[in-house]
Amino acid sequence: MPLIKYFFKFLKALNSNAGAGQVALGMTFGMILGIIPVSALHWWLILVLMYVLNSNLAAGAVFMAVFKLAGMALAPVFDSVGYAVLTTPGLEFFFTELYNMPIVPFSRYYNTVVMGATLISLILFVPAFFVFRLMVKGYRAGVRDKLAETRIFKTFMKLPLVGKIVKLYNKANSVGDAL
Amino acid sequence: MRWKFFIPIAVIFGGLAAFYAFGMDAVAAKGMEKVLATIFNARAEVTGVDISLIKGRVKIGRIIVADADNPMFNLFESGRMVMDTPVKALLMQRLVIEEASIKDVSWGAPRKTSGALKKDKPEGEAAKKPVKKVSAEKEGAAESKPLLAAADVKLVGADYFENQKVMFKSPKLAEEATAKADELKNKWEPKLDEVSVQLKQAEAAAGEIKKIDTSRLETAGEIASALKILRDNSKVIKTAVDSANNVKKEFDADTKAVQKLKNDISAAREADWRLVSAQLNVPVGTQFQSFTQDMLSGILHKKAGSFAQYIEKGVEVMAKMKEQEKKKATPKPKKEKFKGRDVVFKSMLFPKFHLKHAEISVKKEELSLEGELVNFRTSPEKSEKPATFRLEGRQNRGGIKISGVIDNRTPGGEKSKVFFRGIDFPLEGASGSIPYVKLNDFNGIYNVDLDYFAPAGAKAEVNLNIRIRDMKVSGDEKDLVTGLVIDAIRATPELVIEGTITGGAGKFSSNLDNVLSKKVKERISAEIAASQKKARESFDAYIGGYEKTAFASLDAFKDSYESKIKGVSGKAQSYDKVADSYEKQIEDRKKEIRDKEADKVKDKAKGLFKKLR
Repeated sequence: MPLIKYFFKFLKALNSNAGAGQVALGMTFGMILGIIPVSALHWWLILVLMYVLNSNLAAGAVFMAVFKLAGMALAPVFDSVGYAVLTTPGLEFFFTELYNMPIVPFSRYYNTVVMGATLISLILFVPAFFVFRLMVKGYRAGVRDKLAETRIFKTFMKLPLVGKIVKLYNKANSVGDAL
Repeated sequence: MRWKFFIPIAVIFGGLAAFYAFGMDAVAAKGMEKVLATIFNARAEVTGVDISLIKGRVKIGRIIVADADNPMFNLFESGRMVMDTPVKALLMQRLVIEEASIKDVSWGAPRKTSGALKKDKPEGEAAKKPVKKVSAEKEGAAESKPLLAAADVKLVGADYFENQKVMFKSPKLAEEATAKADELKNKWEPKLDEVSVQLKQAEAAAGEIKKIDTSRLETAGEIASALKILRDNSKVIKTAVDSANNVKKEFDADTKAVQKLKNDISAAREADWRLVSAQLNVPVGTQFQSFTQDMLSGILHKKAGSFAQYIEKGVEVMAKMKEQEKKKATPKPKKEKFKGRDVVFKSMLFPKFHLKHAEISVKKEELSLEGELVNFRTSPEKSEKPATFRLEGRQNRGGIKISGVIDNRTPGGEKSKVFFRGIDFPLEGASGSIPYVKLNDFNGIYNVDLDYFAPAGAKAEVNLNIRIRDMKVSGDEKDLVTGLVIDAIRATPELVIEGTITGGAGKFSSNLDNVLSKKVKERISAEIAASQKKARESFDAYIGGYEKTAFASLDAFKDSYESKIKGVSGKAQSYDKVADSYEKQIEDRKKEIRDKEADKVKDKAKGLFKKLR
């Protein structure tokens, strides 16, 4: 249920005048949090960061859910990448030092999936942010209005079930606000 | 920047700090109680918990866990527990215990209130079942061996044989023989009457023959007439003689059959005795080959100090924990998602687990123990020293010292040594320790030396030496085996049991073995021989009863009819002789008359011849 709420909030933010950067940042954080395993300490740090920075939390929640599924599917890829990095002879000393530092071992960086997912998400962070921002802007500039005019969208919105869900959501929101 | 998000974070951290300061110890205590109650299925009380995250110290004032099987008793309890672990190591995901101590461990103490858990709904039968004690299995393994006491053989008498009668042949044969004797009597009575009639006829015939006066027979006609009388009566006599002979033959056959019956009964009796004897036979020699083993296992298990019970308690607790684990582990055949692999890096500062020094003390009324475990860790190859342990204690006036080294610093070259020394332990109430020896009391003072070596790449070896002195023993001395054991123990100033267990197979001997084994063999053989002799007498008396009746009947038949048959036969023969003698006389007379007539003719012929000359 909270995910549906976040989904509507995300749609609202997407269609409102909320900053495109904020929404894109939320989407990027969501992507990273989706693919990095929760058992890693830095996952929580990223979560805090997502909350503290002015990112769109609804976008983060929705993308986290989406990329969680993607992360599970891509686990073998992360494993291969992580294993390749962790067993690089030149980095052994560095990783050993990390292993013998306080708190760092809680990041579980020595796990192949954690390392692979962290590494890939770090690499993708900046490009993903810009791509998402472009996507948000592009959506708002042309796609949104054109989409609203399409017959499929109109038919979809006229569906009784969709209407009911929207009404229910609005009602729940108003009750929540009143409380 | 969302500054407002720092407020909940601050609240969370503030809450955590407050929880750490005021509530963590109580929550930890409740948590521990819950975990212990789940593991042991009984009430658990944890008090005096003091956790200091800054110092890395955990203190527990007292832990009490009730026994689920005996809720009015505690399974175990411990006094003050302290564990110091550096926070730095914890922050590096390592558990390093600098110092750990558990004081005043005890078990089996009575409770004022029941330690049973309140259950919402009854659990399954399996959950109710108490964990089987290891000791019970051991007791089962030390079941007594079958040894027929000589005293039992002595008691074997008529009742015993009467109960075994179905198995015996001789009583049956004797009964059959008695019946046969009656049958023969019935057969011979009319037969003899019949022969008597014939004998009377023969007697009359003989009388007729005797009337012939051969001296008066002068003519051929008279002779012919006498011969006719003779032959007519001889026929009657011959018939009687034949009958008498036939009767005698038949009687001889019957007496032979009677004798055979008697022989069969005697042979059956011997066979029956062999059967009885086999039942009464006590196998001598095998009983005491394992005497030391039996005694050792008995004493070690039941009375080798009370330490066995502590080990058993430990095993019992472990078994309970395993049982709980099993219950938890059985369901959930869930497919786990792929979580990657952990690459191992060298741990430079701390191993994953390192127990530097731990102390334990046990305090019970009859026992005080204290011990330590030093340098027990993972990655032992990086350690300069091996792990060592020590446990010392006093029980009454005795004491124990267990020490050992676990050296697994070289991978694949693990070496372990354990030394156990038990000094001046009172051996009390070891009476039931030897299954087939009925001892009321067996006391003494004993010392134990046990060395355990587990060298790298070789089978573990245990060398054991037990010395028992000042032995006082009493028991059922009338019992053959017990009497012998008591004699042997009384004559032994110090019982020394030595043995080695290599790879699980043990071999033990004692200075009592040879003496006892020899004595037992001699005494059992003698006792059994005497007992069997007595049993034989009883057997002979029992079977003799049947035999006597049968033989008496058979002999009575034989004796009573033998003389009659002889008389019949004699009389018939005598009549036959009369007939024969008269026949001869008549024949002689006939020849005489014939010769006379011939002489007359000769004389006449001589006269004529003379006249002719």
